[in-house]
Amino acid sequence: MWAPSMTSFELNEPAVVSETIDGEAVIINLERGIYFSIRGTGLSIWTDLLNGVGIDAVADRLKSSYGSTGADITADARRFLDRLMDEGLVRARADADRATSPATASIVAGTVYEAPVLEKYADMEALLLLDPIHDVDESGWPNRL
Amino acid sequence: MTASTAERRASQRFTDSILAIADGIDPAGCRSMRIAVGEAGVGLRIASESLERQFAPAFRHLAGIAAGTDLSVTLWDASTAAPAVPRLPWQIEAYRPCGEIAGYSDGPCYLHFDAPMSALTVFDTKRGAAAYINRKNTALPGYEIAGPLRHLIHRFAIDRGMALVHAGAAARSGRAALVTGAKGTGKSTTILSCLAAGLDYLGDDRCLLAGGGEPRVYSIYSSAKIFADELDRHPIAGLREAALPPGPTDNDKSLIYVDRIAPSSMVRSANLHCIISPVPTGEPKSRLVRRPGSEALRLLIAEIVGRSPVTAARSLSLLKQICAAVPFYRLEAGRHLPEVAETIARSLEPA
Repeated sequence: MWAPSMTSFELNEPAVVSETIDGEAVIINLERGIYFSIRGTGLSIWTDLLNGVGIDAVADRLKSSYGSTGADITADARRFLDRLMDEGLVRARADADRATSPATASIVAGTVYEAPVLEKYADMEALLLLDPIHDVDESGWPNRL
Repeated sequence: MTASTAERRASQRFTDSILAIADGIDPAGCRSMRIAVGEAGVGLRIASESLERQFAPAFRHLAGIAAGTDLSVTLWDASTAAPAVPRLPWQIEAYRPCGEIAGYSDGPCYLHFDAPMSALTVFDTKRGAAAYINRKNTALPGYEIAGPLRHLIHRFAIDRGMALVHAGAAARSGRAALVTGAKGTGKSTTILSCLAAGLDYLGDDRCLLAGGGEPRVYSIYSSAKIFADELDRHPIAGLREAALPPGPTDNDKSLIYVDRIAPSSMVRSANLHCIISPVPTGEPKSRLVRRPGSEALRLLIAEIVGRSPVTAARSLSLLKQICAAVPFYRLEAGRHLPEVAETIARSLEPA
């Protein structure tokens, strides 16, 4: 049975690309024309996940880094992973079903725990969902206009 | 964004057939010019008086600079004596709304169909040859005249470590501020206020950005678009007289060519010193607020994601490198345009 807590994940390439700059990951789903932003707690989860760390190990590291926060960090981390999966940004690794890598993503000293957030920018999605071409003439050129 | 072997072969066959037509067009009916695209040379062979009249002015400032020819482009339209284009071989479903064609734009050949223009671009990246075919022979909208061959230039540029970005640029003493932002945030107004204040001009809406050790901005179009009712806001000699009246699809924007009205201000390239995104505030004063480079990256990549999914991954990598190398500012742009320009000029002082 597939258990997210024991699975490692990877970027859903080639449909998804990502770059990190100034404490923020900018992620693009090329097929959907949507891009995303992850900062703060979400960025450290994202970084660890892509380094092969299982989600529960990521959550354990957050708990030990932030101490007692009153938040259910494990539930937050799992919900965040669900969102990443729902948006097609990561996928379970086919070649390694057990996550074994240690968590390494850094947490900025003195920061307060905040639930991870996946910010979604869909302004270009509208363009990609524009009414497509419906008809062509005898030479194959579109008749749309 | 990957093509099957069969699609790549079909794309190559179709591209070969189009380029064979281009090769057969009588040179006597063509106007040729060689322009500089970054540090590369691009030869344009324009086999249509209408296309030459509409496209050549935007490139005029780049002519006669490049030593060699890295890409040869033949342009023709319905008025050209050329054989008919073969039947387009892809299915309707292959058209992406951005104009790239699934399976046909993803490999060594790049095909793009601009439905509003009824224009097809084919580009054989290995051969360094391209064709632009406009099936109409009519007056094109201002945005097309102001920025011809955008899709081809970006695809050519990305192989050379450059990207055509939705941004203007102004410069002083060889240092450029790239001005970006969503449509309607005042890029052109900001850039023209800089021109009026004596800063150099590289573009108001599209520029080439090159990565490497020291990021650089290259001008690609000498054109600028300005709302007709704003012409008198900018104290630039000859601006109103040079402005071409907007057509019915130009959203009341007039077109001007900066190399004509201010030739000494038109520069071809400059080192990228900072990136700026204007936000009109309506306040009297303007000021710059330092922001994370990630915001600049999101602004610059957004339009490319919609315009060219084929190049978006490489564009993201290139733009990340550039955004990490220079500071990014939000320009809280006041209503006093000379002060907007002064604020940008201050940002261009040596670090």
